[in-house]
Amino acid sequence: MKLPRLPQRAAEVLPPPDPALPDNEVELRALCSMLTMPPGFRLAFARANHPTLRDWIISEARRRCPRLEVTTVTLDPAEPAGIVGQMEAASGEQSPGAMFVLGIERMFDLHAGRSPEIDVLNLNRDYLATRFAWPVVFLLPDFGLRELIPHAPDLWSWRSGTYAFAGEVTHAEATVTEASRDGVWELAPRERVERAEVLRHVLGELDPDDPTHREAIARAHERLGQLAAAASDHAAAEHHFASALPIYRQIGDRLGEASVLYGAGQLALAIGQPAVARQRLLAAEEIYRAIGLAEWAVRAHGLAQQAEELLVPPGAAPYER
Amino acid sequence: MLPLRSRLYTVCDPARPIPADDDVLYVDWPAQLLATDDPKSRLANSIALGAGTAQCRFVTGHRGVGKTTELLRVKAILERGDTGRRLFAPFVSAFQWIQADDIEAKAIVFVIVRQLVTDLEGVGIGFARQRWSEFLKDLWQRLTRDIDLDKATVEAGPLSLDLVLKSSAEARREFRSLLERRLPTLYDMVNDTLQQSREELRKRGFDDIVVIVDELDKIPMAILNPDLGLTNHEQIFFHNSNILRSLGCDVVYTVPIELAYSTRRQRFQADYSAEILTVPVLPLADRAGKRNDRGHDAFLDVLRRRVEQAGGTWSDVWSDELVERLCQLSGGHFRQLFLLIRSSLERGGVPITEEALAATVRRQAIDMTLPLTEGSWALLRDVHATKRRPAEERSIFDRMLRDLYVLVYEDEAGTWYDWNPLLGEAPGQ
Repeated sequence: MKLPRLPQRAAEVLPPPDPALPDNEVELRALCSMLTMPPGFRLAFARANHPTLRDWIISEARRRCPRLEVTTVTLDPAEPAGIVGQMEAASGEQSPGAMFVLGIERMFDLHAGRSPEIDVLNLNRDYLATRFAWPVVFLLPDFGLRELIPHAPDLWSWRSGTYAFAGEVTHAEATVTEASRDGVWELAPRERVERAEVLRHVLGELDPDDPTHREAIARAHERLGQLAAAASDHAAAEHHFASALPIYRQIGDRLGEASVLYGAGQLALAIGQPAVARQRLLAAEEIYRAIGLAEWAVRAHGLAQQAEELLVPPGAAPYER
Repeated sequence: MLPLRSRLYTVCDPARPIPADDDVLYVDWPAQLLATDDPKSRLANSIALGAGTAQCRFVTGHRGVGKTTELLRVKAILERGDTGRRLFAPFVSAFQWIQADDIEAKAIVFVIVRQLVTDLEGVGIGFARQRWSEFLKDLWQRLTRDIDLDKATVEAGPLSLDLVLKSSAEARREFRSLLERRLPTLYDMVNDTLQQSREELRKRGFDDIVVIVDELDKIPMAILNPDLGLTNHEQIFFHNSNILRSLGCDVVYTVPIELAYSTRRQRFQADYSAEILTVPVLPLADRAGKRNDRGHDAFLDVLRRRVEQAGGTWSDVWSDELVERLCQLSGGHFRQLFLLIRSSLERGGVPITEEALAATVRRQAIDMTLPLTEGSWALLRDVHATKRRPAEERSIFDRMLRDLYVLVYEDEAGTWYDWNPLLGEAPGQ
């Protein structure tokens, strides 16, 4: 059963990132120190789970190393030129002072478990050193580095340094919003797996005891529940919906509460628990009506009725699927 | 002049093997500590003693341990004639030419021939190039006949072969198929070339030819048949051993460490009648933890030369306590040592402080443990406690060995294993 698109929050224009936390500052200094060492090839990996944080790292590197011509390349898995080809195209005939490479995590097919592009990159490691006479920094989320280490051990072993950056809650919120874009059924299986990875790592950065983090935590859990449901991982979906619901209630987010109840209700319907489904969907309907989302209230009501029809009346023959 | 910090950073570059003619940075600790077990000497002597019989020989070792450095030294030893025979020794970096999905024995032979022809031309023996060009032209004509390529590419001729193979999976598949069919021709051509080349090389003072093929240890292991447990490593080195042995000259191949230290080692050595030589990690202690003083002296010598090359003094760069800590954290693995030094230089200046090293170690320990599962940790703790390979969990152990989570050592009692010392620095350990 397909899950209909859930209400999306309006995209927010983010304020400029906050001044770096002390540990981010230490990492940034080390990164810039590496960039400004004598010219020549070197390889570095910088972990940052949030696209906005990665953008900030690059802009800060440019600001702090004004004499360094920094070029960036965002890898496209659909590009036939491959990773090195795209890096070559980005540098062209120039010799930049440094190169930031984004998107290597997208070259891993987590769904299929194979990454031929990464295999090629690993085996042609020596070519990188001869072709690129400048520092190359791969900026990637945690799961990207987790995948890269075993898939590209020769490349990994050549690193000069690694750096790790932690996001502010605004970064996390932006990442969760980005990962929640599109209905889950519009995403290819590979994309679903990647987004789930991103959200799991974002959750790892957030503090459930920090009130300012709770909304992002709830939204991440909700989306993870939707992604798990689409992957038929019902236990994981149930876990995430059950994690999101009390947080939404705690922070008084009625839209979030209704959305989770709706998703959890659909889940229960899909796994043959019509009584549970009906209860959840009716609760969702009530909230949708209370907050003025009539269309969603109608949908919830419709699904609740489907659940009702599946319920076995007392004394009747047991329901068989 | 650049500051000392920058100069030291440059001389500790983990990506550069030491050239064979650089005796300033190079410390021949294998000869000092291992004496007759020095893999360089054993390999060079083995080739010299095997005069008249073309043989395959094999070298393994962890990535970053210095295999390429040692093999370049073997090449220099053979070309100088230090063993009593002077040998022409083309050195093949396999993945300069091969694509990841082309890692088959016949592709390896193809790149060997390619390098051989190039190097022969370099010493003025040009007939091999002509024969090779004819062979390539024939392949090219068949390739362009069978697949669609743009006109400009076709007209560019066999010189476009690399470009076409790099960019087209279809072309690579067709090329492999063509090569398979033309293998007998390739063998005849290359062995005929070798025979003729020997005559020409003797005029130039060479007694024979040996080809050294590096980087085959990088071949990622793939399971080809889960039911049989057949891997691509076995396919290349066992099932296609006839192809690897087809050349009429001595060949040295590097071998993946997880294959070399697997239960297939005995079969491997029996099939080829050749021992797999290991370029070892520098032994700093034995399995009981007893310090190896000569290993420590060699370690200090490596560092001393780097500091001198950078134009600094020992105390400019670090304290003895910090060096002791570096020694322990490196596990005797030089690339890991240089990574720790460079990262520490990035996080502070010189002299390197304990704080900078501690921050580096923490970062490296956390990052390297990202891919580890509960099962991996259990195995690693077991290896650390017992210094032995576990009886089960072969595939996990092979990966741990390959990816430098487990390091292999040798002492008087034989082979033993330990976890990478950085693992002990991970939070919670």
